Amino acid sequence: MLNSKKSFIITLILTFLSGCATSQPVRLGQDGLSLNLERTEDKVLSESRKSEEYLEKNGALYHDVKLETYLNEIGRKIAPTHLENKDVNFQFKIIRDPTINAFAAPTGKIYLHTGLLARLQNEAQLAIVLGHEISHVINRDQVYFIDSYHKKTITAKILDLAITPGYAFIGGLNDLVGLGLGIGYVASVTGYSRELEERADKEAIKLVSKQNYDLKEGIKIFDIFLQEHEKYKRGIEIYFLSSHPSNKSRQKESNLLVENQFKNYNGQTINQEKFQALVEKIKCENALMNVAISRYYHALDNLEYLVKNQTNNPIVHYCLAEVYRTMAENPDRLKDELSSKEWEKIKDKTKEQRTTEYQNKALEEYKVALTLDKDFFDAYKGLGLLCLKTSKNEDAIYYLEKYLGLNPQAKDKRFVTAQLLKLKPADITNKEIK
Amino acid sequence: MNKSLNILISLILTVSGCASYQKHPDFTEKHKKIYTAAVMPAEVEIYKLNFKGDKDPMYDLMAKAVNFSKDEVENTLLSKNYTVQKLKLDDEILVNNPELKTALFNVKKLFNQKLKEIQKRKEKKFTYSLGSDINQFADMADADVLVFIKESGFKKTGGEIAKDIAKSVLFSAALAAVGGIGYMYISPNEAVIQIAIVDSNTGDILWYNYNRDNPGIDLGNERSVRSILKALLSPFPQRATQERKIVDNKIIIIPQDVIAASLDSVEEQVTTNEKPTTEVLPAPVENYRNIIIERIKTQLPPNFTPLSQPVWLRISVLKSGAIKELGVLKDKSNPDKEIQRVALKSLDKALPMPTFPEDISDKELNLDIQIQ
Repeated sequence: MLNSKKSFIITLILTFLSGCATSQPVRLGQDGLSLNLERTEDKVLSESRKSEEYLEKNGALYHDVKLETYLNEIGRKIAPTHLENKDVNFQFKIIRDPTINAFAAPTGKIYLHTGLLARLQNEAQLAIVLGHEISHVINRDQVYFIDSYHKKTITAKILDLAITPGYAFIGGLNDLVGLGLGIGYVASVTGYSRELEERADKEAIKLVSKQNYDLKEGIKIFDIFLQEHEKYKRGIEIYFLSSHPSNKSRQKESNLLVENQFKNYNGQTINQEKFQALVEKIKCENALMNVAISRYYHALDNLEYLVKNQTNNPIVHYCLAEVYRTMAENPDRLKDELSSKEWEKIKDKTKEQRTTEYQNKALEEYKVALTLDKDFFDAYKGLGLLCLKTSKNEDAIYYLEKYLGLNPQAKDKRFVTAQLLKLKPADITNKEIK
Repeated sequence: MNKSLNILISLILTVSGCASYQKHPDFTEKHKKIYTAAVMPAEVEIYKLNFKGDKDPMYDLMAKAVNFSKDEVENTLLSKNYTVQKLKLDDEILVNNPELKTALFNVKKLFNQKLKEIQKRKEKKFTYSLGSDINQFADMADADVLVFIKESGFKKTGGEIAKDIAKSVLFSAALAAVGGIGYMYISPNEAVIQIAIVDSNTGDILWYNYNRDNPGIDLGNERSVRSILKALLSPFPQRATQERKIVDNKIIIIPQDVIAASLDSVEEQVTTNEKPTTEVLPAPVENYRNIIIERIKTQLPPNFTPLSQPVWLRISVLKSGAIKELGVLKDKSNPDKEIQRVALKSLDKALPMPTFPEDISDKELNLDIQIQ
């Protein structure tokens, strides 16, 4: 009796989960959208506009005129302009968020996270990402997705009602039902289906190929995403990584397309240096954003290119020092950030050993920053805070006071002064009297 | 009778069931110096959930909740005798100051991150900090603590509630069929309201509370949100009590840890008609006096402009650095009471003063301090 009920419920769940077939969409500029989809589209457009206002109003957007101009130049070059209409106008914006994500609103606004820009290596890769998001807009993927989501949710809820008596009898299945529907929900609500993502990848390659970009270089974005999966725990990247089904499969499909259909294609544009120069500031800022949320290795990834190529830039050394200093304050947080495989590599060292190692690296990098710019006041503050942690109180006082001396209008004067007051008043007195 | 009692008990539980607060290990000590507070703009998310699965933000309700939540928290703090400083961060100000808007966004994001860490109990002791990012808001408000509010919740539509009821009925019927009794809890709304009180200097979260025991709140209902906010703040202690005693008719002794508590009424409490001394001080004492002056100056608000007429303070300081007596020298001082208040507050923040250096043998010094 129990087994037959169980099988019935599992069959129902599997039936629900498997209904994900994708048909050809009515693309932008094409006629034939059903009345129901038209209604959904109107609602989605209206909600998107409100969300866009909300993002702007709340300071979520990152503004850098040069970089935004550049993104819009590249994006508009790739986007098929004849598809634009009164509701859709392609615009490319940056969200202040250290995670590696991008997403498109049906209004044509495409948002790139600072975290994504900080990790891409060149313009060819950027072009593929933009092409991918443009494809979602052109194919009205969000409208179709929401329509499908509504249907699935209603089905799920009816199914949920139908099997409610089931879990009164089969207590043990309760978790399975919850988990099963949960997975179904997660798969449905946090991203598009594999078919839609692969279609967007293919369309991106085609759009980008019209602008002479090096396609093989462009699709290396999958290496970045795969590396991210390999190295880190799956966390808050929900749009581009976790939600996008099987990056390996998408990488394989994209490689096949480039090797077969673009065998004789000879596009060579990569534009690495230009791209890197424009995202230099964002890399440093994003690294510090990652530090603020205890993602230290992510921050090191952000700085990797600059560390190799800008050895004489004091800001780069300062940012690197900040990463190591804060990492030393929370060495066990790495366990939350890194994948178990990556954690295995460093866990042999004791917490104390790792703390000392990071503190030494921080010290070294602050010193390099100050050698390159002796008045770099932020580096003095960092040194002061580092000395505070290592109980070198006199040095801490010296560096923190030096910081306030060089930067009398410091916005964090209260914090620094509070740190100074934590030190024994006797220490301050002796130093000042001397 | 029983019914009334049940209603009363559930009402009490609704309003007061909030023993979930947590505090920083140094809270008791730090609380002694909390006199002024400013409330940051509340962060509110309210979604409408319908049967189709949409989760639509309810922007109008969110805007209203932002305002009344801040208002309620300010009133509650006032009722606990804190001085509430106004922190103006409205849309107009933010539009004209993109840097401030970004700073506010970053602080909110950091606060959300810390809330996640608190929920996951990342720290063994309650030692979460927002760091220096909050300093500029503290400067704007000139407050000892900043209060952060985060509210997130949803309201279900009629269709969604009907589905829940149907589910509950089926569940009960199924249980009844096998001789059991039970029901599924149905709530048309759910919300989490969190409040954190943050040290405006160090960024340490000193005190935190959330509505653990009563999640079924409608964030669009002003009355119920106000009552929950009040209940959440109810375990937060009153401002430290004031203790003063009159030495003579001119100078009032104020214990070191309550100087700021008497700042609200400078005129009647901390004044003397004496004039600043013109006596030449021995070099070590003069040196020590200058250290004190510099120390007080570092605590003046960033927008403090040099005064044409200084504020003169007379302090009696002990070898340990503790202040024994304090007064404003009325005749010579700048008459502006607000400026006198700022000077006294900066002195309070600069405490404790350094201990006497070895070359001062006195046990106590009387010093006139000029703040300009």
